[in-house]
Amino acid sequence: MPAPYRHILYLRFPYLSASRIRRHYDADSPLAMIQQSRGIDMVAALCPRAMAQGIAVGMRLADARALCPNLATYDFDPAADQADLYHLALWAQRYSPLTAPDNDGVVLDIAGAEHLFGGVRSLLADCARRLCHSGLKPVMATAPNYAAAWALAHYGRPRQRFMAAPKEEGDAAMMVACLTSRARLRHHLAPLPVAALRLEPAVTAQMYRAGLRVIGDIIGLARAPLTARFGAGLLQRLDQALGDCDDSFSPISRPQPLCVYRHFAEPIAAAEDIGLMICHLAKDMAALLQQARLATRRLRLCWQYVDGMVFAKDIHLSRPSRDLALFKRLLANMDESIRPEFGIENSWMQAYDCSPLAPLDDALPHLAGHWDRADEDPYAGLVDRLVSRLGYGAVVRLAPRDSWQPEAAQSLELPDLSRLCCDNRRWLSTSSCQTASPRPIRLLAHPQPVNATALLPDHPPVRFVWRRKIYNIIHATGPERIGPVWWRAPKDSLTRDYFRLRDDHGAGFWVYREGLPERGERPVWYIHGFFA
Amino acid sequence: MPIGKAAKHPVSKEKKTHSLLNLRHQLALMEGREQSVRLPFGVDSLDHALAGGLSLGRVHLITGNMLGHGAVSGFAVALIRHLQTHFQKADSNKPVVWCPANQHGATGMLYGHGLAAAGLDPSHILVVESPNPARRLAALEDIARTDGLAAVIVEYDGMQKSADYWMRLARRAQLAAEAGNVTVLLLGAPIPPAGFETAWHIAPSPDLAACSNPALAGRSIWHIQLQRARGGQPHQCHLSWYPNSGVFETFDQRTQAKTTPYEDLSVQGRLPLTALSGLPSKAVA
Repeated sequence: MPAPYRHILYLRFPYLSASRIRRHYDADSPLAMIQQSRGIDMVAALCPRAMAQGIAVGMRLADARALCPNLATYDFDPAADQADLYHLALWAQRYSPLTAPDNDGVVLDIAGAEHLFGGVRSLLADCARRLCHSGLKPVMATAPNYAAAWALAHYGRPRQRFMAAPKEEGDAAMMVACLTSRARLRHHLAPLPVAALRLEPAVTAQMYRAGLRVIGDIIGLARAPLTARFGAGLLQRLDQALGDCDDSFSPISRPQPLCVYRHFAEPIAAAEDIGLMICHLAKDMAALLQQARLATRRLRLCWQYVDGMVFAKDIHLSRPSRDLALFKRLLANMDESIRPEFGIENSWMQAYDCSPLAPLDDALPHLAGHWDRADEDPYAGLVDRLVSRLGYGAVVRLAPRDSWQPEAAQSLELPDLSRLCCDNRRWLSTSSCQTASPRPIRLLAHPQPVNATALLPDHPPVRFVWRRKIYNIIHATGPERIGPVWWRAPKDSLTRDYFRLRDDHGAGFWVYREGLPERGERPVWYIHGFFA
Repeated sequence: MPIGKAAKHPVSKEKKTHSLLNLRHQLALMEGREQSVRLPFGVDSLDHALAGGLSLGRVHLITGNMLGHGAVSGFAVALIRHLQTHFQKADSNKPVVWCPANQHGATGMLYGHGLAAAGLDPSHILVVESPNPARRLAALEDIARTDGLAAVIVEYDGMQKSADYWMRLARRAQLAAEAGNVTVLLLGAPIPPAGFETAWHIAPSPDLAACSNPALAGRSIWHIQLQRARGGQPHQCHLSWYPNSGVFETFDQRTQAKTTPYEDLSVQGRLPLTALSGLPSKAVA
């Protein structure tokens, strides 16, 4: 029975693990992912540069190191790869509603969706451009069925390169084949090895022994002897690849948020009614969350006018909660921002970013308030109110980080109140080691170069010019030497000597010289902060 | 009272001051100033000029050049530290909301390690990030109405607006601050001070003693001009602040300069005196 019309796009990501490592660490050397198998370190994944050095997947690490001494190795993490593929499959829903992660790629059924992007060619070009921009180098193949697309993406010879940018030679997506009909399927599949049929390794080895190496060898053969010798699986796979029998994959869907509805028989417009509507929705949502044993961090209130227009408003919570009183308080001034216009017909509320929270209220009522009520912690309530007024991401807190680099020793983080209790000690403990020498109260996000005059190369400046203004220095303390993070920083980063300066008007500056004169480096002066 | 009549029967000086005090008291009652808590600096001349100290739950304006130095931020930090100690005595640890200027600009971002060294716990500061000064000022009223805050600090950069705009802003912020019982500090370039509870101009001041005495290196000295204080009077002084103890002190520039031996001004004993050509003439003379 012939299969229905399908158009499958297979995106294979051969360098997925390496590109994840590159995103997290700014590594310069060739990368290899290592997996232990029977006590031997084996190469499980590679980056393109390691591949160019002659290293292949399945090689021993010792052999790989012999080929490429500066190989950087990381642990192979299949779970993280799968998680990445899942997110890529969700992202790929911009092209088609039917997508799924595969073991090393993403499958899309783009049948009927090509014209939305101006044809299959421009869809593929768009997809390749976006993926290459994010550093993933996909191998793409389209075919009328899943098995053929898989075979082409894994074993086909790349024919065409889609460039992310005309000049970048490295970042290009590889296009194997773009088959839209079954007519040329046989022609394209015939030269591929039999392993492209997704057979069991034992069957493949058996076929190799029998001299059947490529798919073209078995296409013309009689079916009965093949089944007798290699089992029914072979012919089923072959039929699937040639489109003679159905082959499917199960598409994933985005996890849907919890949702509660209110529909009105008559459109409502009065302010009290709108307030009541919000109140009811909040009550339903709190009950639903309670029932599902979940707590939310983001509520979305949507409403639809009689003319069909839908509006939405988000409320962010500083920590997961399902407390009705808290919801009501955050939604309290919402009814003012909803204009009734000609009336509201529908309204619904969705809960995003849910996390499990034990139903404390039922089991331990005396503890319930401790967890679920913001009143206990005035800080939490305050952050919630500020975030609901100023927008998500606008309210942050300064957090210390263990680093001697001044700009890296502090980060901005969203106020997460689950960690507040241990927080008070964090600054004091780290700052005790950090403030051995004084630190400025304001730090320039990017140090700015100044034109400084020092009497001797390793002396503090006596005068510097910053923003076309001359500062005459009367007092200097230092130097405090801070070296670059040699195990991670780029090669040309230099050691800094920090000086605390006071000018003749009494202003305090934190100025550093980058580069050591005694090493023959040409020193450059920068201003980095201001003292009180 | 007609002028001519006053000339004929001159009012005694005592009676005049008494009636002035009486009038001031009546005005204060009308403005609700009597209820406001005043936080003394511990510096007599300044506290006298402020009529008892910095009034809490009001809007204060602190101006100065924020691009060239950290004196304005430093004075704000000192004030907040002072406020925090006051609240800690009352056993309430209230957070501070700080809306700083764009962190990529020339004023720089707040640096937690420096704040911690100045005695201010950075985990009690909520930073509101918004690159637009107009939006920060628009949010000010919202934030100030939130009760449970020790102070709100808003930086408005060098925003150019009419005197009328600042007057209205001061009034609106004042009402919000009273509603939330929050002390509001506005930081930025000089603007018309009308309508604010107090208006300060802060500039750094050279500290010659600290050059020779490393124990004093941590302190900050500011030249403070109290341009306006409701119920008080304008004042001007050099104020020093010790971050370790959080104590304010007046600082007499001339006596300090005289007691400092000229030779001790060299940098770590390495810098020749020719480098000191940039000293202010007053200090050298």
